[in-house]
Amino acid sequence: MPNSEGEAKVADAVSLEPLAVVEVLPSPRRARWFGRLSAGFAYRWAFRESLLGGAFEGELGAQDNRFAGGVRLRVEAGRMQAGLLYQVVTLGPSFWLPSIAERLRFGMGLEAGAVMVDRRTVPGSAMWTVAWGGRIDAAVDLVRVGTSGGLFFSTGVAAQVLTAAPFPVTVVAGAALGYRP
Amino acid sequence: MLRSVMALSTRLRSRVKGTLRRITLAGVAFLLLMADGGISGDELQCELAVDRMLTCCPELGSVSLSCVRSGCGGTMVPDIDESRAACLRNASCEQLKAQGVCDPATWETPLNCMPPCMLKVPKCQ
Repeated sequence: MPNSEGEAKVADAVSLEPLAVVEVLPSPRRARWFGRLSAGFAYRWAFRESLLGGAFEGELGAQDNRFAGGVRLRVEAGRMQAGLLYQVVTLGPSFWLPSIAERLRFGMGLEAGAVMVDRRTVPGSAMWTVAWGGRIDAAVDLVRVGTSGGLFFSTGVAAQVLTAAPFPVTVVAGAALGYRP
Repeated sequence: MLRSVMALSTRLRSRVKGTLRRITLAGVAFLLLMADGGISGDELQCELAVDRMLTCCPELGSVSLSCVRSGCGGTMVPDIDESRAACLRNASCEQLKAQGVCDPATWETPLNCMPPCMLKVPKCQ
């Protein structure tokens, strides 16, 4: 209950004003969680042979309104055209540049891991070597979800050094569909 | 005086920490490289040749061949050498069958096998 005439007038004025919704934009420098998952195919050239496989990638890190970065785990498995099965597992830091036209993003990263080739003479065992190198990626948003999420198509190319292999370099290219919450 | 001693101590501690971190990283990298099994060319060629044989001759089921290279200086070498492996890989299934690859009874003793040699490998010309 208003105690005085003045207070009663103020209360009436406030109640007559329409409610205003004020949208407070997040600070462009505020860091938020960043994550992405994708699955696709990969073509790899290694040991002077062609290898075809599927690749799964998961990335977790932080982002602001411009940049994003995190740690990326990549698992690739498939078959050499010559017959043997292979797997590649890599882990490393990744970095995404500000988006172009709010849809296209370029990224890069470093990765280290292992390339394994299954033996045919001893089922269940594999030959393996350490791999390390870098990669360049591009991702285009197909469907936007919320302020920073979406379904995307990505493509990338990577080159890695193999520490003990018949040919010391492997190159991989691929394309994938993914989701970024 | 006390302040400068403390600053020196902090600087020294951070330098020691940095050195220890570098040594740890170098150690991990060294261990990783030492633990690297490695894929040698002859091992890979041998495995690919066996894969070709088993694809063309499913009746073989499995083969009692070894494609492992191990030991210091490679004391254990793959049973199928690189030239024989390349020959097996490049031949068609018909050619392999015609040369008796699918019949272990026709396999031969490799030239470089030290006696007493029990090893038999498929012929390929």
